Amino acid sequence: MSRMDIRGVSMRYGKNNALQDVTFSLEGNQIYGLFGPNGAGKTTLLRIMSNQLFPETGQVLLDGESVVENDRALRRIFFVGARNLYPDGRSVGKQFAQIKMFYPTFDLEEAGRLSDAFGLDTKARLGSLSTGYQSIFRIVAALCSNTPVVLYDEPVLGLDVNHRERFYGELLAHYVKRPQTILLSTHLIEEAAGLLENVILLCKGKLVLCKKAQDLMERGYTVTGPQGLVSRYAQGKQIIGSEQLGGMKAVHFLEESPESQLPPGLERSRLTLQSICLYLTKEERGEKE
Amino acid sequence: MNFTLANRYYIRRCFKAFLLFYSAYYLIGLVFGIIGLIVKQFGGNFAIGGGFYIPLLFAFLFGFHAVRSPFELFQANGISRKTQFCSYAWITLLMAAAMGLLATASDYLLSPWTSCQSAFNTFFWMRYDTAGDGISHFMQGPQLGGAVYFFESVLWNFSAFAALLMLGFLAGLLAYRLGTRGKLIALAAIALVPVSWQLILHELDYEKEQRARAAFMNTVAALWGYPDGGEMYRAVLLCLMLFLVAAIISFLLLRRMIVTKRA
Repeated sequence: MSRMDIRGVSMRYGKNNALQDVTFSLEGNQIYGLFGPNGAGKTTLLRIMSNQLFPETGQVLLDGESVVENDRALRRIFFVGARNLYPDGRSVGKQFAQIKMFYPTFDLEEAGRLSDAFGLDTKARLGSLSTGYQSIFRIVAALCSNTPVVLYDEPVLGLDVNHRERFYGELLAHYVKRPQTILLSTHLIEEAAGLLENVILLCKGKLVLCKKAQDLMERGYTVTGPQGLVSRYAQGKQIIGSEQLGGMKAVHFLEESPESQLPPGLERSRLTLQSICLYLTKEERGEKE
Repeated sequence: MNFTLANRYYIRRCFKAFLLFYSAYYLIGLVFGIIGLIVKQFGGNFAIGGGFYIPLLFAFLFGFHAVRSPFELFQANGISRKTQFCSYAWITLLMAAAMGLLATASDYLLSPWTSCQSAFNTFFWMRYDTAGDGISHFMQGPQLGGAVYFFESVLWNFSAFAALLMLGFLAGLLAYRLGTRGKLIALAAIALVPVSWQLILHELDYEKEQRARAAFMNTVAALWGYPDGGEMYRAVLLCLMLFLVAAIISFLLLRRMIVTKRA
């Protein structure tokens, strides 16, 4: 069971603060979702965690060891980025064989099975594949890596809905068979919501929250009704967003213990994880309505 | 450090390149050798030269191409930058030794019946001109032939190839790190600065330009060991220093390098 600690990580690109003092931990053998709007710093964070980038300040530790230029720690992390870093001219099958050379835990047989399942031609050159199939190559590699920590950055880029569903299914099946610490960064929050145990939300380089997904979804709700009633109800509560249409108002809350009883005339509904992330990041960006 | 994994990768890479290059090199040498023999049979004369620089160029280009693709692959597969550097440095020494032996063997095998000779024999033939007839007699007896030539040839070739493999790697790192504008400036500087300097100086003061040119050539020749009848150990020292300097700068460039967007 491997634990990753990200402590006070900051990163700047010129005048732009890509990450600002980000601190959280990935407990062993759990699935985390990493969300945030474009430019939030998700890819930067993942690249720092996998030694592809160096933070200006802060540390990334794997079981207490820094990952920076540490082959022993890096051997236990498999990172799937959105960029293809594998040679275009080699066939998919040979790429898998080469990955096996670097990661002895890599399951070549499983890679063959998954390639068949996804319709990935192992004889094709990587450079000749479409964007979607290049993503499939990378996710098959990650699924078969069997490393203690797997980091996914936009793994389903370019994938159709069938392949996405298959990926989520395989990810869960592999996780059940061989638990790993998984961090999955994606914009398709609702699709991934069913897999996640924990949510990490970034916005403008800052950590907005790091919470259990179930807790978050229990805390988020919407109250809809006549404007006056809703406004009275909303007083003193933690509001994360609101909409108004004519005389009707909908206010979104994120409360530790939501009231079980609502005043008459008001309706409550659950907030989806996607909506919670949307409203929280809107708030961070000062876009409250 | 996952030295072994990185070494395995580089050895596979260099073995393929090695096999391809030397197969083509010796095949072409063989073909020209046969043509030469046939021409001689008919009383003609056939000689080709300049082939000595081809393995040197191969070494530089191998080093140049040992940066981008391995770096990105290593980054994707959890190999640190320092491991990549150490592995490449080690492979450089192995390759330089192998190429040094091959170059020396080529002198012994090809020179009796072709005009092909290694870079070492081309640059330092005068050292083995035991008869004073302007010909390298390196294949003759023990005095400045035989084992001495073999040792000196392997040593010089090793140092030259090591320097070029590392200089190529350094050039590859600079090319990877520089953006398009930086590359254009670097190319322009390499092409234009020496020429411009010479032209400007030529216009300003012809005699000074001639003296400066002579001083430059004499310095290079002295460093190469030429004025003293082919003092090859000086050239070996120069090459080893170039290797060391290129290695240090390469390490400093690589240690914080990040993956850049592909063009």
